[in-house]
Parts: sequence; structure tokens; C-alpha cells
Amino acid sequence: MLFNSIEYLFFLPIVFGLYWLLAGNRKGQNLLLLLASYSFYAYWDYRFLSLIILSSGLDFYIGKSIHKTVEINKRKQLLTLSVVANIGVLAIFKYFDFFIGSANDLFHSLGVGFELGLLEFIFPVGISFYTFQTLSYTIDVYCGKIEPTDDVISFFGFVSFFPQLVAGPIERAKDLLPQFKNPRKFEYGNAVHGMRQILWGMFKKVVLADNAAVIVDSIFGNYEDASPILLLFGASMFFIQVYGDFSGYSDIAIGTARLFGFKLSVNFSSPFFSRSFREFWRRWHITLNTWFRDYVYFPLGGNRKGHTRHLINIAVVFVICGFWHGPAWTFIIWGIVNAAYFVIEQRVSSLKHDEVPLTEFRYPTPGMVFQMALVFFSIALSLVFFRSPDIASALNYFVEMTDFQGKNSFRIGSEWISELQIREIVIYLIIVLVFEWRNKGNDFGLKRISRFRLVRMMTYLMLTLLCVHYFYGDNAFVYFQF
Amino acid sequence: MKKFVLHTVGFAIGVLLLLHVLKLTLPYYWANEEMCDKMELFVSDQEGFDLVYFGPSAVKREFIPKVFDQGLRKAQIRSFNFGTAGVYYAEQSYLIRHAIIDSAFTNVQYVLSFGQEPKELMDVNFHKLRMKYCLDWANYALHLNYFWEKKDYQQLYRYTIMFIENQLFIGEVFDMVEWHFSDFSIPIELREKSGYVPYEWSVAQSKKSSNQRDKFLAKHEGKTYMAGSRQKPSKKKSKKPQSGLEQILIEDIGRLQSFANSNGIKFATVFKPNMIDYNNVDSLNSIYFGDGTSYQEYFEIENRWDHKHLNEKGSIVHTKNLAKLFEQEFIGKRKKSKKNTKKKKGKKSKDDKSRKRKKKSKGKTKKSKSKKAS
Repeated sequence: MLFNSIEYLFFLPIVFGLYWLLAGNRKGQNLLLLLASYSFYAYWDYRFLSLIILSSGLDFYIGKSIHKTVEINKRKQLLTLSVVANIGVLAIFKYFDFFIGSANDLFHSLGVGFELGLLEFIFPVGISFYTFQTLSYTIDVYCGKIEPTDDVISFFGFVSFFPQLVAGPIERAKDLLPQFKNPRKFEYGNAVHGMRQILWGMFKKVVLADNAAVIVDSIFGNYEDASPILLLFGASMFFIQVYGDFSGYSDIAIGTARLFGFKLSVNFSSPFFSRSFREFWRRWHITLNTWFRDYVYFPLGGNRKGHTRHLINIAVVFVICGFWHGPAWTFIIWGIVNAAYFVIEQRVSSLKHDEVPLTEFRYPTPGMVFQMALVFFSIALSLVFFRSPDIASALNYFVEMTDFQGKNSFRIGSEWISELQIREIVIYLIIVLVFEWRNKGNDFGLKRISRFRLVRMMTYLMLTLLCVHYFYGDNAFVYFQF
Repeated sequence: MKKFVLHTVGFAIGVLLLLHVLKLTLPYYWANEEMCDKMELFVSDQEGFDLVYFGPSAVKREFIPKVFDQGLRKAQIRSFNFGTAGVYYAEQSYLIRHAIIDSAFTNVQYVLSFGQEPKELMDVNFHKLRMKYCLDWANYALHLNYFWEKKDYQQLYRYTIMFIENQLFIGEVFDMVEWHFSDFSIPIELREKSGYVPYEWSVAQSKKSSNQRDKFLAKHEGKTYMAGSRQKPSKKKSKKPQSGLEQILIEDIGRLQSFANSNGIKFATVFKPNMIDYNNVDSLNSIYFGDGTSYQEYFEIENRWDHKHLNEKGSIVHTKNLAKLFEQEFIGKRKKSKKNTKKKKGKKSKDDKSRKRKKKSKGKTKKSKSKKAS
């Protein structure tokens, strides 16, 4: 089920109403959330529920077994079993065909007349997210960071909590599981906060991202005929689309969780205001990056094994992060490009702008704007790999971007994009930037609007009307495919 | 908790009320731009029309009011073409229902409706404004029943989603505001044609419509007859229909017909010859061309624009035929009834004239400015 669907408009109030009717009955509430979460997922494809149940059951059992076992070797075996099983399922459904396809390409180029068969499975939505979530549980139990739970409903609920099930934020057991165990009390302020965050997320998704998507599809679909400036615009628009889409989803997820008395982790923190790549990666997809930091980067040695090893570790994390996004060479290249940005910045820059919090500035200085623009366009260009179907198309996109001959280089409009569309998207982007700048120290863009009630109400009304207009209900979120 | 629910529901109701008020400022046909144009023309006419014909492009492109009026010279009928591209059953019946009670239609004595079946909502038209603005409760209930009978659950789902979207004004906000700033006016060269828009004219204005024409000609190059488009005549003249109209639909058309009759308007459904055999529509007032065997000229290449539409030459043939059948169905009956009541034969009886309520022109159709400008 999509957040931006008519079905969800009915689903959420029904679950919300039933949930708070069970106030005081924590187990009943947890069971309801579990059933609601499974219904939410089954609405997309009920067959893949078995994967979530299997994964949850396995880690629930392994978590308890690791805790009971004293022998180190056996504990390691149990952890290995969990990792292999979870990553194995992910590998079969997400990466198997990629490896087989790459091997077949290799055989073909070597002239070997041999071809391996592909599985061609349907990709289960959200598998990368809930796999990482449940995997972190067994690793944390193994490391002694948390105690395993005996409450099977709470654990299954933690793995499949519907607001963040299919596209995060990726929660850690130590943060979310205790919330299932503790009694929840309805708080007016918290619920209003949740509604505002849902509205803001919906605005970013259906107004900003979905409109940007139309432009992006046009430009990437006709890049051979587009002017260089339009191609740069297209790459920037894709960055804006991904941000609006994914951070919008996260805001709706966090806001929804608040309605049920849960607090989820912040996933995006105004990444467009990043003044360096390091700062950007601290503001973008925070829960995934911290996951890789804790379970990949630190175990590899982090920055404690010398400068060169530190840079290698960073590069490894970026490549894995790229590969996590999808089984394609384009994602790996995207990871490598971003690793390069990061490593080069680490090597050449002694400036540490991001050490001065943005909240210290009422308005951005010209220097900051320049730095932000530099980071923005660099990331946008790297996303050309992310968006392109293959490496050749991405490279052609760059070639066209430098081809100033025979094209009206500074022409923004074209047959496939009207200037009205561009004007609209720029207005929506300005709205997002203004609200996010005003709330740069807060969780989301609508937290602080004005002390005047009328201004607040008019803002909500305006955003709601825009959401009602663009709420078409069948534009899936970009990150569902990961 | 109560406070939260009250505030949230209050806000939602406030937004919906605001949008509802905004929608009340629009005419019932607001989402159909062509209809807006035609309504401008219709209202601006000083003499008024006796007959209107609603339907999709098959009406817009093939019904020539002047030819029709000439065919019915004795009855002195003035007709108007309300055909607009892409009108499907739900929109058509919605437009007719509202038109009957519209003050601008007080002079109208006859309403013709194009015979067609409810449309399946495909991916390409799912969520489209034109497909949902006309989904009121009556239309929604009809489509639910219709697709339930057909066991087409995907259509049930889609129509439900579209109905809810329409009730919640989803995807309509900008269009509702924009309507007030739009200028609707039919091109001057078409004003004389009383709503008829030949393909020949459209192609001269824009090349958009020429693609389908080119494809059609390429497919039928060198042929004189559009093979396979007309149903083959059955050897036995069986009364059993090959494929009749769904009973649910017949009942719905019957209700619309009764509604028109109760408002003093005669209503008929026109079943064109190149459609499937609808010979189970006896209970309806209909102008039924049959399965097309008697109208072979409709399938001559020289009379066709493309696979679905006639060209101007073919349209003249079709309109003349329509006028004849209309005369048999309505005018003949009227004469008979006049004879029975021993009324004098004249241009129009006093009763007929008195039945014409005073035209409240320019009532609900705003936009007189644009009309003057054009």
C-alpha cells in the first residue's frame, strides 16, 4: 500500500481509531500493529509476507540462542547463520540475476558458448530495509549491546512496523524494540506534530517529487536532443525528485509513527544545505549511513588503522552502499564517484565549515551558498549514473552535456517540457528550501512556522490544497525498488 | 484524543467545504473544455434549438445539424451538435441529466443520445479528470452494478477509487480555479456549423488528427470497401441478438428517458450502423440502424475518415439517414397524435409553442465576454 493512495486514507484512520480504543492494553495494541503491518504489506503482494515472517522468526530464535550460549565459537556460528540467511535471501531475490548476468556477459566476451539461467524473481518491496533492521538485532545481541526479547509479538512488530517497513528509516532494535515493550499514552502535542510531519512529507512527495519526476523522465528520455543547460537541469531535478520522494516518505513514516506514540529516527536533515560532502552524508539517509558506519566501517577499522586504510574503508563503504541500492553497475559507479568526492575532500580540504552549525546563521552567507551549490551540483551529476539504465547511457548523457555545438545551449524549455512546468517546480522547490531553512535545527520543515495562528492555518491550508491537487495515488516511491 | 480528532476532522471538513463551494461556482460541464465551447455557442444563439445530440467524437464528427434540419424541413427543427471527443457513457448520461434541468435548455424538445456502453478505465485514463468529474452517486452505482455483473473486479476497484477521488476533489483544485480564468469560445468558422466539427477542419488547424487518417489510408490503400468493419449479415434472420446491450444499461437509459419525458422532452438513443448488434433495445426510444447490413455506404473508404469515423461526405449520408429515421420515429408519431386530437396541421401547434418555456439565456453559462470577443 502506498502512503499517497486512497486506500491509505482509509487504512490509517481505521488503524489509528482501533489502536487508541485499545489504550492501556499494550499487548493488544502490539498485536493490532502487527496485523495492520502485515495487511499493509500483503496489499502489495501477500506471498512475500512469508519472507518477513521467516526472517523475523529466524532472528528471534537466533537472538535468544546467542544470548543463552556461552561458547564463543557456537555464538559465532549462530551469528553467521543469521547473516548468511538474511543476506542469502537478499542475494537470491535482489542480486542473483545480476551476478549471473554479469558472468554470462563475461563468458560471452571470452567467446565461451555457455550461459547460466536467470531466476527472474519479482523483487520483494522493502526487503533491503527490513533485512538490515532484523540483522542489526542479532549483531547487537551478539555484541552484547542489547538483551534479546522474549516478546514474540513485539519483535515481529519491530521488524514489520508498517510506517517504516518498505523504505525506512532503518531502525535499530535498541531504539524501537523498547518502545513496543513500554505502554503508550496518547499525547495531543505529539499527534499534532505527527500530522504536520505527514503533511510536510506528503507535500514533498506528491507536489515536489512527482512534478520533478515528470521533468526528469522527459529529459532523461530525450537527452540526445536536450541542450547542455537542460541536461544539467535534468540531473538537478533528479536530485530534487529523489530528495522529495525519499525524505517525504521518511517524514510520512515518522509522522505516522508519532500518531501511534512511537518515535522513529531522523532520516534526512536538510541535505541541500550541506557545505561539504562529509556534511552531506551526515544529513542524507542518515539511518542507512549510520548502519554502514556501525556494521561495516567500524569493523573494518574505521580511521584507527592509518590514513590510507581509513580512505580505503571509506571507499569500501561507499561501494557497498551503492550496491545496496540496486543490482546494477550504475549504482556501483555512483558509489565510487561519491567515494571519490569524499576521499578527495578529505585529502585536499583542511576547512571544516560544517563544524559551525547552520543554526548559527540567520541567513546563508554568499560563501556558504557557493559551497552548497558546489556540493549540490556534484551530487546531482553523480546521480546521472543512479538514474540511467546503464553506464553507456550515463556516459552519453555527460557527452551531450558538453556538446555545445548545434544546440541552443541556454534554452530551458523544449517540446517535452513547458516553461510553466519549470516555473511550478521552481516555486515548489523554493517553498521547501524556505521552510527547511527556517527549521534547519528541527526535525522537519513544518515544525516552526509562525507564532500567529492564522499564518499557520493558512500555511496548512495552502499545502493541503496543493497535496489534494497532486494526490493522484499511483506514483510509487523511488526507494521502493531498493 | 477528542480534541485531536475534532481538530483534524474539522480541518478536513473545512478544506472539503471550501473546495465544494469552489466547485459550486462552476457549471456542471466544467471539466469538458469542448463542452464549454459548445455551450457558449448554444447559449449565444438567439433563435434557440429544438434538438440536441450528445455523444462522443462519432457525434462531433458525423452529425451535421444543417443537413439534419434540411431533412426535417417540414417539421422546422433546429438541431445542435453536442458531441465532444472522448465522451463515454457516464459523462454522456451525466451531461444529459443536467442539461435537461438546465434553464438554457428550456426550448429543447428532443434529446438524442449516442448508444454506447460504459468504458473500462485503463491505466492511461485512470485518475483523469474527464473520467471522474461526472461520477456522481447515480453514475457510480450504475458502473458498480454493470461491472459486478461482468465480474470485472478491477473495474469495480478503479471506479470506486475514481468516485472517491471525485468526492474529495483530488486532482481538481487547480483546474477548478483555472476555469474562471479560461476563455471558452468556438472558432468563428465553426459557428455556422452548430457544433459540428469535421475532421477536415481539425486537420487544417493542427496536424494532430492526421496520423490516424494516414494509418487508416495506408491500411486500406487501393480498396474501396472497409472489410471486416461491418458485421456479416447472418444467413438466418434470427431475432436473438449476437450481442445485446446489458440489461442494467437498458434500465439506466430507460430511467434517463423517463426523466426527460417527465420534463417534457423526447429522448432517443441512436445506435449507429457500425456498432455491434444491439437489437434488444425495443423497450427504449431508439433510432436503430441495425447491424449495418442495410447501410453499406458507411463502409466505403471514400466515405470514411478513419476506422472509427466518417469523413464529411460520409457524415452527410449518415445525417440524412438519421433525419429519415428520426422522422419515422418522432415526426410521424407526432402527426398521428395530432390527427387523433383533430388539430390543424401547421408549422407548430400552439401547444408545442406554449410548451416552450421562456428561455433564460446566459443563465448558468457565464462567459458572455468571450462570446462577444469572438
